[in-house]
Amino acid sequence: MAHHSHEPQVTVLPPNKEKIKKLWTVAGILGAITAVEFIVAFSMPHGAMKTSIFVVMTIVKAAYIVGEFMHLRYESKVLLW
Amino acid sequence: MSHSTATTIEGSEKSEWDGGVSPMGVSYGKLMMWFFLLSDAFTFSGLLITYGLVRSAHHAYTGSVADYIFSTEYWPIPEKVFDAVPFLHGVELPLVFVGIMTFVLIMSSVTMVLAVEAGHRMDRKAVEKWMLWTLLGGITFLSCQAWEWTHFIVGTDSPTLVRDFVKGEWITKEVVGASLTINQYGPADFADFFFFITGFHGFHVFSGVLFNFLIYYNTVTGVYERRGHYEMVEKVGLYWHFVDLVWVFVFTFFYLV
Repeated sequence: MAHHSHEPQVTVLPPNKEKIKKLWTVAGILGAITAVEFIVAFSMPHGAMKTSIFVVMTIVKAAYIVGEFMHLRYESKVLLW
Repeated sequence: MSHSTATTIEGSEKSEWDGGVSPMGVSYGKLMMWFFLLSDAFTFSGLLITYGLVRSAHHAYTGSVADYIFSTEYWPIPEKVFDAVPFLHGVELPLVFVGIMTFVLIMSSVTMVLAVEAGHRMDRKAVEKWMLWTLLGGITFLSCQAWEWTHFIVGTDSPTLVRDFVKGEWITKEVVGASLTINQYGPADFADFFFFITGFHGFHVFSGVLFNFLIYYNTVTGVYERRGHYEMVEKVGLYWHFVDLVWVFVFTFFYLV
């Protein structure tokens, strides 16, 4: 800590374009599902059908957040179980 | 133990039975964060399940949405309660503001995962940039929530006639706004759940902003660069995504259904 002259040499890697593109795609999907939720909210009568649609869409969104953003899809399978 | 947090388990000289192998393939810190988030998920599930139960114990509004008026006789329709947007007084924009809040939180989740990605590449400047965006998103969300709470507590222009039990007898009085005991939107439970669920979530966002600031500070001062890895960004990132995840559920079950 005291040796300021010995700052570690850091190799900065270039951005992983493919990965970043994928993350923005996921963001787009989340945004799109939310938009559809809005349309459903104002075009369908209240009832069990509407609630089911919302629940399904919420679970899809949750899967994307946990799987992609929280990286669980790419971790060891044991962690998921 | 070891002087720095181990990110990889390869090259560990300990035997399997001495803790040399991580069975989940993730570091101790990340695994513990997952455990914490799991327990936190139970708490939020408890709140939302209770909300569903109490709501189903009340009468539902059966008339048409256009004729809807506030009453303690039935559970309110969320889109009629949350229809205000700042600077647009008197304009009915159902769920628009909460939609904006949802968008802000999703975006800040994206910038967080971009900060994690930059951390993997040891790109300090990029981590700083994306952490700043994430902080901005979190603070924006909290500000929106502060406005929403204020509007909810202060109330609308016209009062609602509410039956209340005062000193042993039922009286009817005009109520504007909301408190924990009485509100103009519907049964008292409705406002209580609003305060507890969005409040508990908001407190998580608030803590997340503090953690994110800590991460940003440590990045700027080069702590992670000297440490050789940015795993702390990942761990706090997990927490931040969880906060977004919870909001997805709150948004559906409290505002949409």
